[in-house]
Amino acid sequence: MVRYVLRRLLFTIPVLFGISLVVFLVVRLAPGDPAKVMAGEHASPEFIEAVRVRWGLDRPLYVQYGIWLSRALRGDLGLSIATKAPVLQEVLGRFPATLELSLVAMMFATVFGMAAGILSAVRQYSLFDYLAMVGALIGISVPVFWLGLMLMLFFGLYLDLLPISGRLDPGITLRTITGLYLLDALLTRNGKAFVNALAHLVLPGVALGTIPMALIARMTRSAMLEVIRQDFIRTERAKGLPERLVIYRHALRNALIPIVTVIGMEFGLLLGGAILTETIFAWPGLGRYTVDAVYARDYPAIQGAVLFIACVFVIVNLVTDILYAYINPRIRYR
Amino acid sequence: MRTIEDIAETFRLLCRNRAALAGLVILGVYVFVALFPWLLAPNDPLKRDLALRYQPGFWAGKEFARFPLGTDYLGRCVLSRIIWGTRTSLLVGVIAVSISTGLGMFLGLLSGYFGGWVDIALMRVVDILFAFPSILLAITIMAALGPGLEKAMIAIGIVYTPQMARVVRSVTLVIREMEFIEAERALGASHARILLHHILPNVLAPAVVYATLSVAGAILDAAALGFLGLGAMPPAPEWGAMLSGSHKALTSGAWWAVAFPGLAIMLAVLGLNLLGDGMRDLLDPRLRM
Amino acid sequence: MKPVLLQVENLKTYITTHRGVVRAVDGVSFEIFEEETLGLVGESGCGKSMTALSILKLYPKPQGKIVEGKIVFEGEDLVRKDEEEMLKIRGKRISMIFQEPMTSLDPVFPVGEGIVEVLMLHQGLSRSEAQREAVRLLRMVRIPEPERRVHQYPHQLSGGMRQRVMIAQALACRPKLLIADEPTTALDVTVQAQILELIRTLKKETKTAVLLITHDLGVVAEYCERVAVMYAGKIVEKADVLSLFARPLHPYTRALLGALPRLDGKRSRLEAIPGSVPDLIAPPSGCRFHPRCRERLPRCSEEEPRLWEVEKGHEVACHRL
Repeated sequence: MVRYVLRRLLFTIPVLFGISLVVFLVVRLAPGDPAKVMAGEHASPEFIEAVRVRWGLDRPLYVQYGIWLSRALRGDLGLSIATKAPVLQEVLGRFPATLELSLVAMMFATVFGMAAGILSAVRQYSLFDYLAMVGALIGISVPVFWLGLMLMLFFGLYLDLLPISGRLDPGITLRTITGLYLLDALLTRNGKAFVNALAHLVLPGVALGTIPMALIARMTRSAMLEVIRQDFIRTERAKGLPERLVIYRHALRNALIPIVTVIGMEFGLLLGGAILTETIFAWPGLGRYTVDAVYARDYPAIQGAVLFIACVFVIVNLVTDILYAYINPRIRYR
Repeated sequence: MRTIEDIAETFRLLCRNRAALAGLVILGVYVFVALFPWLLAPNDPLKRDLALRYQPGFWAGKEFARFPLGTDYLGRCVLSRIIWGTRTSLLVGVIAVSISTGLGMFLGLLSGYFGGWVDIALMRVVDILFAFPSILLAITIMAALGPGLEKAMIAIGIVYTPQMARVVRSVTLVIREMEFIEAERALGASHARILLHHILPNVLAPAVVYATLSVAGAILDAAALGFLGLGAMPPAPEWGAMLSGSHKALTSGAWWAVAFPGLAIMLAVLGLNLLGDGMRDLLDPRLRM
Repeated sequence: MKPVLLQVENLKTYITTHRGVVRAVDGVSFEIFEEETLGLVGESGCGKSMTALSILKLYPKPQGKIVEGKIVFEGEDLVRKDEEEMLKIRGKRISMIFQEPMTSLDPVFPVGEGIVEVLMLHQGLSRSEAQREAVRLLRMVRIPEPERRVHQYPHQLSGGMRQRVMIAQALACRPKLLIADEPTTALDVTVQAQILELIRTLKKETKTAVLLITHDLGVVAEYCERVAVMYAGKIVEKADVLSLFARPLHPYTRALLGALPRLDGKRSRLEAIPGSVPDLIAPPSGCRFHPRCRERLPRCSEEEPRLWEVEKGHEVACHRL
């Protein structure tokens, strides 16, 4: 197990470098002159040239990459063209918002998705199974931004039940420690802020979590069905174990192994979907920051944000793999 | 050729699966709409009339029948735009997936068949591309290429290539180990012949299934790009783009400008998923992806 | 003569499939006496496994159903019992072990855990008591270093050891009856003998009767006291082992024996039985073996023969006798 973990860690490092290379190249290959963009619309040719030299844009590409990478490793992701603030600072400032939204969406997706999947598998071919699977199919076909808009329309505007933008109402104050408002509200015993933050998380969370929930439901169902067919389930029944134990202690525990992998993969979907959801719900997170940066052609910001998100994704996958190795005895005990 | 009979047989079996049949029907409708938009659209999709902004559709009364699904924030007919947008979305989906399938199969075959350095290098690249959530990667590529429909097709095509490459590679690996390949090599068959004659036909089936499912994702991603303003350029009628002016529509109460384009996306993707699921169930034992 | 432990009377288990109703067990009757080993022999697909599963009601539901018959165990009819009552019998008074030790143990739990489960469930032991007993049981089935093995996972054990664990699990609560469905078919020949020998030794200690299901007549000859031969969902011959091998009466039994190579020097051709196993959805009329029987009479295709006692302790279902 230790060897497996080390191997995976070692493997992650070239991937991270590869990501940085891709991020750097893709943005640099954009048409247009980055120096001109940075210098501004009405800059003189001499000023543009000065900017070019100042930022090393006249050096060969691989040198530029080297400089950029060494700076990035030290935490210097450059300055945003739009705000002139350090990109790393801006990214870190916005990350907790995305993290909180993603976690809430993930919990929603996992809890309801797995529950639906297990019940569908246990009651295969029943009405519940049929409805759940039809629902799941619709769930994976729905565009996340449209779902967000529809939820916003119905619950926010039509019923006026839940807030549709931002993380807190303007009147609420909250002392932030972690940047995760629910956690902060608990830590500072601020009940009003907690409820308010929760209300703001509902619509975007449900919108973001619906597609992963549908996928998890489908995967859970098929994994459970697969496991229930196995010989050892028959052995457990022959031992006189009540069906409840057979399903929840034995079948589920085995099905969890492939399900964990899927949940890890879902997180990537979630991060992508967060980009769209944040745009709709005016959520001040990293996704929206990235999109705004693309509109503004703010290349350092784009590079920094994309690099950060991709790295988070890689780390999540690494954790998932390690978790998988832990819960699968065949890998854990050689 | 054997493959044509296989396809016919597969088609016949597929039709017995009710869900797949439903998907096929839905897709058929969409293809028809994409091919003959001028026959079906009641109005000119590009014609603006600011006096007629945010008109409701047929449900509000007979006098609104001229624009059956209402008008958007520029007074354009929503239904006509959806109908003309079908062509755009299907085209983007098909072309993007064609790119990814072609590239993916090529890379996967090479990687799986030759192994060694080629395999390791290619799979590293695939892993790195996989390290990005797909929309993020698409956005990043679009940031480099600039906005536009053709660029969106390329970007999405690149995004879907790695997974196709992986699928093709794993099937190739399995077939490569089969004994008849050894026999062929012993008989002096060249690499090219083995790849084309023996491996490719077997790879085709899972590739087609995966491609079908990819088109669903590609359409969603294309719509997402359109929604973000990075795909189709205005005033082109594209489903995702139709949703991006929506904030104003919602506050004006014009829910139809948002609901119907999204519904169009969802049904198209649903049809493709039904079809893809049916195809995958058919090939299931052979397709442990 | 020991008393009767299990009496199966006219058991019929049918399974509904999309192709039709499979009459897997179609009127089977036999008895098992206390502490004896009864062998149930037949080709693949003859219904012997389904008979075993029927006793514990472990057949696939809802497709499978006992449509007729009685299974009387220690005075109670199991067919009339509901699921909750069956839970108290499985693993406790009647246990079952299966054919594939590779896949018959839950891969995510240590092997000791499976035994502890049974002990805690049926005997009400505490966890620590159950763990100690589990180690003792592993020692009983001759697994070396049981204290270490009890924490290992199935994939870390060999096939033979896994089967021993299954046996330990099955005998943990000292059931009166052990049903062994082809317990050694998936094992190497040398290991086969060890396992069967182990079962024979242990059953004396725990005073357990054994229903040994197999297609191997050699196993029957060595390890069983009585035998029942099944064909196409019915029992065609039933006798004690010596009588069956000395004087096989049913043509099918004789054909099976004829297909065995002989060690006594007489060289004769191995006789294959012509034809193939009948379809249990639409079995042949009359005697089910008649299409493949060399000695059939016209009556055989019309009327189904009943089991009757030809000599003491030896019953046969054939029109010729």
